[in-house]
Amino acid sequence: MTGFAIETHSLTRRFGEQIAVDGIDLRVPRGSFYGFLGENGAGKSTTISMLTGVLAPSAGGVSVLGLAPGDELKRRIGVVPDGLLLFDRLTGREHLIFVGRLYGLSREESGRRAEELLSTMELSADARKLIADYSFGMRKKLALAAALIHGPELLFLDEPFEGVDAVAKASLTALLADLVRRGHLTVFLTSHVLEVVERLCDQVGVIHRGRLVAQGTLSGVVQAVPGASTLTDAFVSLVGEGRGATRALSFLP
Amino acid sequence: MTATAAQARALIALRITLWWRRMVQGRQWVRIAVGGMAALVGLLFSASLCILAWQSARQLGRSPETLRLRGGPLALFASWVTLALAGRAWFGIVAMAQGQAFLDPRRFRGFPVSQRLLSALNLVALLFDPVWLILYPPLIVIALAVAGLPEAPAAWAMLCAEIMAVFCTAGILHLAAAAAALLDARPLLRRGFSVLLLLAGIAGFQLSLSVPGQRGIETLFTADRWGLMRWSPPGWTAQAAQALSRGQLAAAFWSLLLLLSGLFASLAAHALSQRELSRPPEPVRVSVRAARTSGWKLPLAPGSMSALLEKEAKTAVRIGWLQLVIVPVAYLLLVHAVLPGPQPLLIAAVYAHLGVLEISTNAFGRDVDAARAWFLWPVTLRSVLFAKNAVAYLFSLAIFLMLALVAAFSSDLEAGQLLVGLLAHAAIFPLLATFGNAISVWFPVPVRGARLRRVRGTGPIGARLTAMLLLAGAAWAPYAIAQVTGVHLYAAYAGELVALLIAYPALLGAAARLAASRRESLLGALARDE
Repeated sequence: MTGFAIETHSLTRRFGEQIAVDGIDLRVPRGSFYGFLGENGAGKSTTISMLTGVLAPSAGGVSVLGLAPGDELKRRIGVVPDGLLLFDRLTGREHLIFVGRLYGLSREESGRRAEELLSTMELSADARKLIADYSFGMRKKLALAAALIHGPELLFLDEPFEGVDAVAKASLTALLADLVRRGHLTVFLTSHVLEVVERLCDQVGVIHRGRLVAQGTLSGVVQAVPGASTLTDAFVSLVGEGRGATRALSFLP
Repeated sequence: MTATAAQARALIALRITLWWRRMVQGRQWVRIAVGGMAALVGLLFSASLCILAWQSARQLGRSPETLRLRGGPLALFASWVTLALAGRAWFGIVAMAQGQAFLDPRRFRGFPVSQRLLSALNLVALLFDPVWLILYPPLIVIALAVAGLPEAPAAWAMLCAEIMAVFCTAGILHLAAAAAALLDARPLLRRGFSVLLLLAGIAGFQLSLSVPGQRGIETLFTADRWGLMRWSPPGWTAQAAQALSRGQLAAAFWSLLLLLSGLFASLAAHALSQRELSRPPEPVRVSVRAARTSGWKLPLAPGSMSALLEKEAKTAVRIGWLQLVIVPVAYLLLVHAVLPGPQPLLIAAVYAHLGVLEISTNAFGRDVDAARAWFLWPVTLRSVLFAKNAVAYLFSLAIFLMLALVAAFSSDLEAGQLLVGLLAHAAIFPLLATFGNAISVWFPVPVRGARLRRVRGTGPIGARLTAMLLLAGAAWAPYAIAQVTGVHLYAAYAGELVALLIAYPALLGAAARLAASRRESLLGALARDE
């Protein structure tokens, strides 16, 4: 077993002529909080899909927790993708129990963990509501709860803070930081909210147009970029390519 | 006015472009082929109705006494037009559980598009839906055929009256569609409406049977009842035709009644849809008891399978009952008025499965984005499909038993007929399950929110037709074999059941492999906008 929770070798994914992920070599240390950054369409979600086994790579190799994507790996990871994996016609509590039972937990244990997770996520008051009637922030919290119910070793979070209000964001951030601090969990997170990534993550990787352009400790990546003092500076420098100056629109005064 | 016309052109072009991209650029060749087959069947049905109307009119022309007993040409015209329009209205009620407006007003709230324009375009679009296209030729033939009878109004006058009647019916259907949207946002109200519809259907049908030896709409138009019926909308249509034909001023009165009815219904539909736009959907809360349960524990089933079955059953129950209760009402009409026979529950066996076609042929549609979970969680696709099939079967069985109850009350149902029906119902389900699983993987359609229906369903409508033919063939094949070979009827159906139960695990495995091989396109389709 290596010291990496995730290791890829020249991982590539093509969609027809388009190369979404172009031969990346990820190294995510166990017990780390890894921030995977990139602009829209850079290949972050495609990479997560390949790491979790939803999408087959076109080329290259993947090792997650020492395993190839498959049933054994599914039991040991938790995933909160962009689509959240929530069944709208169940209540929050029913959904958590359902997920727990699919992971092999007993009804009683699923129920106990569901109560605890709902309480932690401050969703207990809405336990009777159908998920369809949840707000977006509540859905995000419930999706995170569902990803945690079986006690995964590795958690994949795709844009967990997108569309979440400041209060919910603060509580999610605190919860995730606490989970990693306890040492059992590795978190692989993609986010556009760089200040949160800077506060949470000890490791980062930056993907740009399908290629991994930087990877390492947070401070190492920032220091490697000339003139950068924050992660935001480094990120803009790595992927911005001179963009940022907006041209005026001819039809507006 | 020019700006409104430009907007109308842009909106129509938008729908055509989206349709074209979905069907042609999306390379939905199978969907197009199935749609083509459905169009062909519709064409044949339309032609059959035309021939039926023409031949019936010729026969009545040769028998003046029968024509007189039927109320004369005017009552005949009214009753035939009513039959056609009642058929259209019936499909309209079914469509409340299937389709949706041509242009969804909610999508255009943020744009400077007049809501009146959207309502008007939706009304016009209603006139070009497939059921109307099937009915237009028979309506024309009815006018031409009745015009050949003595003392009948001129064909052109009857055609004019039909146009007004069609406008009136379309307005009412428009209003029904707006009411359906209202029900979409209120699950409790929809359930109440479903039950009311069922009761009304049964009561109405029993009422129509109350006159011994007389059944169906035509009995309402006999000579002795014409005095009353002339004041009903069908009567307005017939009298408008007669007055037009004779050049009487009364034509304006009857025409105005029809046109104002259609207009009023359309305006009411518009007002209702505007009111709905500003109201949030009604949140659903489950009972305290249901909220406290730790999930189902089914005997002999592993925990994960119990959980899957619970999830699927709760999803199906919470999406509404409308379609499930429409089926028994339609069955009443079908069996007693159209297709009586020695094994009435064979029709029920097929018809019960039609009630769950929506969930069988779009098994992943309500999972939408969450369908990704089936590839991320430690659960096999085989188990997932089995749970979905099992829940569909149980719902279908519930409908079948309801139909059997209806049949028992309406006629002398024998135990043997019930057994044959039960065997046929169980035997043909593996076919529906397999067909539905394949269609669900090939043509997944996202259904968001509390809707029972899918928003766009052109392909699956063809799929439903194919399923109906497949099921009907499988339901009657053992009957035919028993008749030809002399094998006992029970043995023929039991044999079919055993054969398909043996085949089901292999078919389920094939469907699971198909889903695994097409997971990217499946998830992609479900993540798309409706």
